[in-house]
Amino acid sequence: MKQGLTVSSLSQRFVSENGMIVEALNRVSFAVQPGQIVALLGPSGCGKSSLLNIAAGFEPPASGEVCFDGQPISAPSAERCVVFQSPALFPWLTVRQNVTYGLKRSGMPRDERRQAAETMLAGVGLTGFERHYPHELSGGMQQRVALARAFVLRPALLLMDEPFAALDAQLREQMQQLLHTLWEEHKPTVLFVTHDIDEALKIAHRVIVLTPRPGRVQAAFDVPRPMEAGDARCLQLRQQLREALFAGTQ
Amino acid sequence: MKKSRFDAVGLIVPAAVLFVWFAATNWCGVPAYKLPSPQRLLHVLIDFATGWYGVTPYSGTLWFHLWHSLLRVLNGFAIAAACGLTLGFLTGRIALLRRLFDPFIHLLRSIPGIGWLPIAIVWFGVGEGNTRFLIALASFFPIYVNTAHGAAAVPELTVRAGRMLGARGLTLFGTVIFPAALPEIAVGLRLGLGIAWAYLVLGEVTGVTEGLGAVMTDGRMLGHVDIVLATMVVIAMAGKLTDWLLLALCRRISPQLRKGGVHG
Repeated sequence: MKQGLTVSSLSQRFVSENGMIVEALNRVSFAVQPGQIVALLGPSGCGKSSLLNIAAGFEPPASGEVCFDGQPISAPSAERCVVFQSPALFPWLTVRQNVTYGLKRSGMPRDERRQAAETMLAGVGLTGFERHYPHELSGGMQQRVALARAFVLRPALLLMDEPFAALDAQLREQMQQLLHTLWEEHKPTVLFVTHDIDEALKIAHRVIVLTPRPGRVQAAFDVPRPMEAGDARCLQLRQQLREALFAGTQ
Repeated sequence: MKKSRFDAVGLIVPAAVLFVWFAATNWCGVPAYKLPSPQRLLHVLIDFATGWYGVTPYSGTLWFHLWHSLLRVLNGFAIAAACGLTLGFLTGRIALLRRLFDPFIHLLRSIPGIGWLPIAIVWFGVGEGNTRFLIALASFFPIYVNTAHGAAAVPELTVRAGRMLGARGLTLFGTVIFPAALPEIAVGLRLGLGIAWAYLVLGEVTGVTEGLGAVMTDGRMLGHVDIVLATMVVIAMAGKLTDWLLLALCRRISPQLRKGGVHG
């Protein structure tokens, strides 16, 4: 039963280095429909990465819960893939081995794995680099391998933690395009964390704005698709997002 | 990424030392019972290996002694590696075990290896047992320390990447944590193997009849300085060779070690 992702009154706390209790998230609730791309927009340190880590199953929440297709999330799983801010590839594996790593864990036979990796690497424009090691690639190419490694598993949910923030503007734009192309293929549910308004507008069907720490939902906007970057509706939305983001920081 | 080219400058100092040695022993009257000439050493070394000239009581016995020494080194090193890797991973990855064992192991580590010799003789007797004990004990520490550090230093992000791709338990250990820690483990293993050869000599000079250390002690007592020096050369070469083999093995498993930075 496809129900997408539901985040219900989720709170998270940390004990900081000097022993203070830091509230990262405060009763955050929202839902992501199946096959929807939702951007989680917020200033640095608003707990959006915490939220993603809970959704991935890396960390337990202080209270509240995150459910995917009705099941509460308690541990990482290959049906919920993560693309981190840094590529986080395995440096001891070749590009192909990195891409097939998850498929191997799921028990797919070798020939099928290779075939899938080949198709996927062609999709991200890295044909011919199968036998290279990550350190032989540029940062942008490594992040493309990370995308391929996640998409090749055809995950039902993709969690992306500012995956393009470390790239230069031109490369970022290419990667956003690439994300859309990959998404078109099997339309996974995507939760995309970013602090960049234009990035959120460019890729998302819906943008949820969080306040600074402790993160709460400030506002949510639907983004009509398709939408050209320069048209009036886009500019208006952009202004609204700016105001929502700014209102939270007051 | 290419292997570093051969550097002829590195030959200058050895050549100069060889020349001074040659001059001192051939022209300046340094007596052979203190320092044999280079050509005499070479002669003895070839005889030690082949038995062609019969110039020392040890002619042709090199392989026999080397074999016994090698077995001891490998035996002690294997025990050290098994214990060091296991304990290192356990304390490196599990905080409670680290708090439990790490301080004690570091306390033991502060006892110099040679300091164990008397008690090792009491426990294991002179000879085989105490030699293996000393080798295993001394090479355990660098293997343990580096493994524990390497295992603890595996980035959390790397582990998370493995988990979200579907690895858990032993698979996660074998396919993510172990290969991620391997470059540091390799450093520990190489240090440990080097120390294993050092402690082999220590163990063997204290009373075994076969082995390179025994030949050294024997040679000294019989006034055969040439065979003492020849044995030193053999130990150096054997140590270097085993180190190469170990490094080659590690490089086979870990491509990170192949990209330069670690030299043979």
